[in-house]
Amino acid sequence: MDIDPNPLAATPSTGSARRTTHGLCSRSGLARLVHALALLGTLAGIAHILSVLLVPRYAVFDAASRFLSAGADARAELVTPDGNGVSPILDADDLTEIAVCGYDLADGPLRVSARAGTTPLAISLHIRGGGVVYAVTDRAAQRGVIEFVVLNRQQFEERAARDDDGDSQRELRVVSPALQGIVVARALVRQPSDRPGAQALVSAMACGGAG
Amino acid sequence: MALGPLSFQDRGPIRAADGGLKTRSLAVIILLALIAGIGSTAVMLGERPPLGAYRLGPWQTFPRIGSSEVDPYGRALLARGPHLPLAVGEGIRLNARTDDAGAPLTGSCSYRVVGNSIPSRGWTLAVVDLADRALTGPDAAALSDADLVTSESADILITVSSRIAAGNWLRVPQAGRFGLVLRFYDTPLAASLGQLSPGFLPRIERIICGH
Repeated sequence: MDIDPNPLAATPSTGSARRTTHGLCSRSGLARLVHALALLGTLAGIAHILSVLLVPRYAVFDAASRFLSAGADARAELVTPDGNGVSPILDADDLTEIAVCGYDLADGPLRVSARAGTTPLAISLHIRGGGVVYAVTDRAAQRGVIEFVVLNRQQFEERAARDDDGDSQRELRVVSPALQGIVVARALVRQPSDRPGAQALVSAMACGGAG
Repeated sequence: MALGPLSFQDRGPIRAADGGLKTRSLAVIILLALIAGIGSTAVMLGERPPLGAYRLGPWQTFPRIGSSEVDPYGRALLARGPHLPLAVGEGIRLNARTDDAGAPLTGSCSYRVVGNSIPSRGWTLAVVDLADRALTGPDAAALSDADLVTSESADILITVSSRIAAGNWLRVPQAGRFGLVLRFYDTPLAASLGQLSPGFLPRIERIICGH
């Protein structure tokens, strides 16, 4: 039984015809490879972009997720190192003291107040999924107190609509783009003797409902 | 018997096989794309954000990481672990892994951090590992501006070495590479980074190696 090894070349076969067929095959093979690589690159790019955007959305290890329940009794909770002296905060400065309050604006607006002391103090708002939306230092304290209200956009507008003249000037309102986040009080410990005072300062931050 | 070119009727099973092959190829491409896309995300979200770095001499900072303008990579990086970056207006964090000459910082060498003070409420200098985390246990080392004995030649003059040194001394591990983190609290530095020259920040000069 005779079997033609190359059925495609069953037509009158000359050397040039074989070369042309072979060239066509390799060219179409190359085109297929280029298409496959282009598709691979495009899909990989889409997967990369989506994964970067989705990491914050489904984050469970970020600081806000970790400390969301902190300060449930309307008082900031001190972030303390573990038994080996390792801070739970990855980028913590050992020469600072930190206390946090978690918030969920679904429960209503949050009023934050802290008293300025002798050590430098800053209060910042970190939203769930990463990102700092507001910060204030004790330089902005009025009569020794830093105070502001955290709200979402809808709560802000409702409050503004309820305002009597001058109400909006009486309180500082900060709009949080995310419903959940944490309020962070951070005090600098310039000398070891400053540490107890810094701990007391950050732990004294109050974070209760703002009605 | 010679087998000629395939007739039209013969192509059914071949088409089905071709379709199966295409489906399998597409599945492989999608799988590879997912691995490449998600893998590249994991690689890019290392210890530092891939974008937004600002370099001044050996010091590097990411000013937008502490603001609401943080880019998607920075946000994803923050979401991957409990980070509490300094907010813009709260302070600025600068990292160095090399000396002024660009050589990696290593425990087998001694360095001098020298420069003039920068307007701030206080600053700290800490030794970190290559993941930018503060060293713990006996290796932990950090000092603040209040710890410093000022000299006539410069406001800041600190010896960074594994061997004890006169004056201001910051201890580093005897072997291996390390990094330095300089944090300024309540400083206008972050707002004026664009106008600063590298000489504005403390220099990191190598004194001697192989002691």
